[in-house]
Amino acid sequence: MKGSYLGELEELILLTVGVLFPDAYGVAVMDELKAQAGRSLNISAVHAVLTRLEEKGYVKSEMGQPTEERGGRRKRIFTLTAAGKNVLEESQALRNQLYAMIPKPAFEFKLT
Amino acid sequence: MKSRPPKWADNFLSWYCREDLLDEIQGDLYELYERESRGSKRAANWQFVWNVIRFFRIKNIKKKKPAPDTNLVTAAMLMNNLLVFIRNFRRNPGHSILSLFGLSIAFACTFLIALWVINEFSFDRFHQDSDRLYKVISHVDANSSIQTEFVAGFNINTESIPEVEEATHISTGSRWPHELCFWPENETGDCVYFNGVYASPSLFSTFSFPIISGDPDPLKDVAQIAISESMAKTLYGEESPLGKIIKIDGTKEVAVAAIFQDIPSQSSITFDFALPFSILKRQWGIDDNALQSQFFNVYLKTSTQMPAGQLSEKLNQPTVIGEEYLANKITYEAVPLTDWHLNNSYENGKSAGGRIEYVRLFILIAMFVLAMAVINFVNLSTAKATLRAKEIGVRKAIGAVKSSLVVQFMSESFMMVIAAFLLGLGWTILILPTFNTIIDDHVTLSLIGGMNIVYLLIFLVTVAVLAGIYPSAVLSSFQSSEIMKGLKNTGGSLNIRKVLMAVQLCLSLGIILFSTVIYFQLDFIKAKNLGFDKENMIRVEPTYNLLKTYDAFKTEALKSGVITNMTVTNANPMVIGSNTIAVDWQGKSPDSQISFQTIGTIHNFPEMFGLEIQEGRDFLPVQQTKDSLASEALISKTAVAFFGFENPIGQKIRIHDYLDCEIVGVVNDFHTSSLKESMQPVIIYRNVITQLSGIYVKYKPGEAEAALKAIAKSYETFEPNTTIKYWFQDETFDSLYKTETIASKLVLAFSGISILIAIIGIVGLATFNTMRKTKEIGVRRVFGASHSESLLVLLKEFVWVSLLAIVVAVPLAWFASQKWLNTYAYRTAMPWMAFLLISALAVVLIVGIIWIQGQKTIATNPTKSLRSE
Repeated sequence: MKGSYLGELEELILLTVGVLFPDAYGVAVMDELKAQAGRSLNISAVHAVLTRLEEKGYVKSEMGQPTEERGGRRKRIFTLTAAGKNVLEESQALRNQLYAMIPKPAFEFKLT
Repeated sequence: MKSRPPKWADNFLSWYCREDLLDEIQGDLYELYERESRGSKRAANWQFVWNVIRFFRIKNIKKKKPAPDTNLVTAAMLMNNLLVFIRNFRRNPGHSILSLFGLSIAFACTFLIALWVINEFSFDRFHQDSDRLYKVISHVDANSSIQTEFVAGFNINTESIPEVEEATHISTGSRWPHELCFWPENETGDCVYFNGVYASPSLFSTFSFPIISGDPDPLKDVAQIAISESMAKTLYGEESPLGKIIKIDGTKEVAVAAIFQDIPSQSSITFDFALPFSILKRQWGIDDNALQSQFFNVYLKTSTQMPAGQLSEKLNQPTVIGEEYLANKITYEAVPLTDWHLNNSYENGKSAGGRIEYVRLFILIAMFVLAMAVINFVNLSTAKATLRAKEIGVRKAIGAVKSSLVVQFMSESFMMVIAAFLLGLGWTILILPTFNTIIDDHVTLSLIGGMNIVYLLIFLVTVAVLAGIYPSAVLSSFQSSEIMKGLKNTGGSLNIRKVLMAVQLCLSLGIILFSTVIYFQLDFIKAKNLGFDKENMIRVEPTYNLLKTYDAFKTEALKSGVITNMTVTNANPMVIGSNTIAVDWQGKSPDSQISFQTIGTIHNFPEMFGLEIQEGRDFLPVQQTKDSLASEALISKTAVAFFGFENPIGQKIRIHDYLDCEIVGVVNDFHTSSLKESMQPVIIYRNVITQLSGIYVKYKPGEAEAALKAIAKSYETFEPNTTIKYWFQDETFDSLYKTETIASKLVLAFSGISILIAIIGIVGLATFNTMRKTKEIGVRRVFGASHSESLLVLLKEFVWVSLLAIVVAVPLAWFASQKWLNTYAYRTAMPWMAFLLISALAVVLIVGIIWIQGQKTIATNPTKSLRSE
C-alpha cells in the first residue's frame, strides 16, 4: 500500500476528476486545472499523476468512445472511487478542523 | 486541409509507447495538436514534438515482450529450413541452378580478380623492412617538359643524411653486360643466358634476398659472383657451386661466393646473378671517375619510416645531389618501394598512376559482376517467392512470427551463398592455370591467408545478407489471410525487380561497350602504320667478335637465300627508350633542353626499315671507319621542326658532345615508342659497326623457320663460343602493348561472363513473368488476341527496362572509354557503329529470350491454362 498521503497536485487533480464527472480524461483535466487554479501543466505530467492516483486506488478508469478530433483514438475516462471520495473528505475534514482551531486573534490584522 | 502532426514524432511515439497506453496518450496529443494548429502550425508541431518527448518515460515505454515458449532458432527448425530448401531446390531445379550458377561464376570472377589484386599489391612487400625502402628517381627539367628517369646518379652522397641507413646502387639491363651467357659445367652443349645485376655490396642487406649458402656479403668489391638457386642448378646440377670459377665473357674470372634464393615473382627487382661494380667497370672499360657520373637504380633504406616527400627534400640538398646536377635542373625524388610497382608512370614530372589504373578497373569490374549476380539472386528469389506464397501463408497461419520467417529466408540465402562459394572456388581452381597464362603471372590460391581469410568471411556474410535481406523482408511480410484468399500483393516488389534488372543490364552493357573500345584501340594500334617496316625481321644479339667480322657474316647469311638483308644499329627503332638532350647545333638557344631520340647505325638502315627519304639523300654506301667520326645523319620530319632549321640539309650537329654529324637528308616520321606517346624527334647517324649493339635480319615472308636456321648456322660459324640470342621484331612490338593486351583479354572474358549473368537474369525473370501471366494470356487468347499481341503483353514490361538501361549505359561507357582512350596520343575514333550494334543486339537478345520463353505459354490451349487451379 502506497499510503494514503495525498500530494497537493494529486489532491487538485483528484478534485478535478470529481468536478469533471463523467467526462474526466487527460486533456480535460489539464484544461480545467488551468481554468480553475491557473496551473499550466504538461499533459504528460497530468497523465503521470492520474496513473499514480489509479495505482493508489483513488480513481478508476475505463476506455471511452473515440472521437474525430482525437484521430480516432479513445479517451480514458477517470471516475472517483469510494476510496477517492474518502481521501478527499478526510483531507477536507482535516483542513476544516485545523482551520477551526485557529484562534480568532490570529486573524485580526491591525495596522501596526 | 486538416493538418497532421510531424510524422516522425508520431512514429516515434507509437514505437516506444506501451500498447495499452498508446491510445489515450496519442489521442490526447492529437486533440491538443488539433487545438493548437488552429493557430500557428509551427508552434503546434513544436508542441507536439515536445509532448512526445515528455511522454518518453520509463512507465510509458514498452516492455520487452516475454520470450515465446520455444527458442526462436532451434536446431530442429534449422533442420526443417534445410529440408525445405532442398525440397524447393528439387521442385524448381531450373531456377535454383540458374541462380546458383550465376552466383558461383560471379564468385569465381571476384576471386580471380581479388587474387590478382592481392598479388599486385603484395609487390615488394616481402622485404623485411619494406616500409623503410625507397627508390630514387630523377626529374630533368627540359624546358618544355619534365622528363623522369627511374635512375639516380652514382655519386649521390647519402652519407650526409643521417636518416639514411643504406644506399644501394643496382645496374640493370636486358642486354650485355647484364644478359650474359654461361656454360653449364658438365655439358658441352649451348651456353645459357641469364640476366643479372651489378650492385653495391649492401644489396643483400638492404633487401631481403636470403642467401642460402656461402658468403653472406658476396659483393665486397672483389671478383666474386652470387648466383640464384635455379641458376646454380642449371650450371652445376646437384654439385655445390661454391668456389667455382666463372669466366665472364670468357675473360674476367670470378668465383661463386654465394647462392641466394630465387627472387620471388612479386619483386620489382629481379636477377639471376649479382656482380660487384668493379666488374662492371672492367666490362665497360671505365675508371672510377667515369662510374661516378653514371646513373643507376638507387634504393635507400632509412632508419625509421619517414614521409617520402621529406626524404626527397633532403636528397635535393646541394651536398647530396651535387651542384652540377642542380645546375642541370635535375631533381631527385624518393618513392616508397612498395608503391613503385603500381605507380611507375610519370607525366611531366608528376606521378600519373600506372598499373594501379588497371587494378582499379578490374576491382570495379569485379564489383559490377558481383552486383549483377547478387541482383539476379534477389530477383529470382523474390520472383520465386510468389510461387511459395502458400508455404509462407501456412507457416504464418500455424504461428510462425515474422522474425522466424526472416531467419528461414536468411538461412536459405546463406546456404545458397555457401554453395555458390564452394562452386565458385571450384571454378577458380579450374580456371586459375588459364588465367595465369593470360596475365602471364603466377597467382596462386596460397595468396589467401592471414587477414585475407577474415576479409573473405566478411565478404561472404555481406553478400549473403545483401542477397537475402530483400527477399526475406518481402516474403515474410506477406499477410497470411491475403495469401490464403489468393490475393498476392507483389506489385511493389515487381517495381524493385525492374529497377534491379535495369541496373544489371546497364552494368553488363557498360562492360561490353568498354571492352569493345579497348578491342578497337588495340586493333588500331596493330594496324597503325608506324612509319617503318617491322615485319619479317629478327633481331640478333651480336658479340664483339661477330661485329668485327660483320661483312663476312652478312655474306654468309645472305647465301642461304631466305635472308634478304641485314643491318646493325645501337637501338631498336621500335623502342628507342632513352632520350638525350646532348645535341648541339648552331643557333641552339642556351637553355634549350629538347630531348632527341638517336639511332646509331650503318648505311643501309633506311633501306632496311623502309624509311622514305623526303629531302636530301640517303647515306652513302661507304664503310664508316673509326678515324672519320665526322659522320652523316638523317633526321625525322619532327626533328626538323624541333631544330628550327629552314633548310636542314648540310647543317652540322654534334651528338653526345663528341660526335659531329652533317645532316644529309630528312626521313618520314616514325613511332619510336608506344603509341601512348606523341611523335618524338629522331636523329639517325652513322657509326662504326663495332660500337653498335643489334643486328637486324630481314627474311622472306613466311620463311621464319628457315631464316632462323640459316642465321643460327652463320652465327655458329663466326662465333662458336656463344649461343645465338634472337628476338622477332613483331613479338617485341606485341610486348610493348602487353598490359593492354592482357587487359583487353581479361575485360573481354569478363564481359562474356557479364553477358552470361545478364542472360541468366533475363531468363529467370522472363520465366517467372510468363508463369504469372499465364492466365491473363489465356483470357486474352479466348477473346481473340493473336500470337503477337499476346507476346506483346510479355514484352511490354521488359522493353522499357532495357531501353532505360541502354540510355544510361551508353553515355557512361562512352565517357569512360573516352577517358581511357585519352591516355593514348594516337587513338581510334569512337566506334559508335559498334555501340549502336551492341545496343541493338542487346534488345534483340532480350526480345528473343522472352519470345522463346513465352512461346510455350502462348501456344498452349487457353482452356488448359485457365483450368489450372
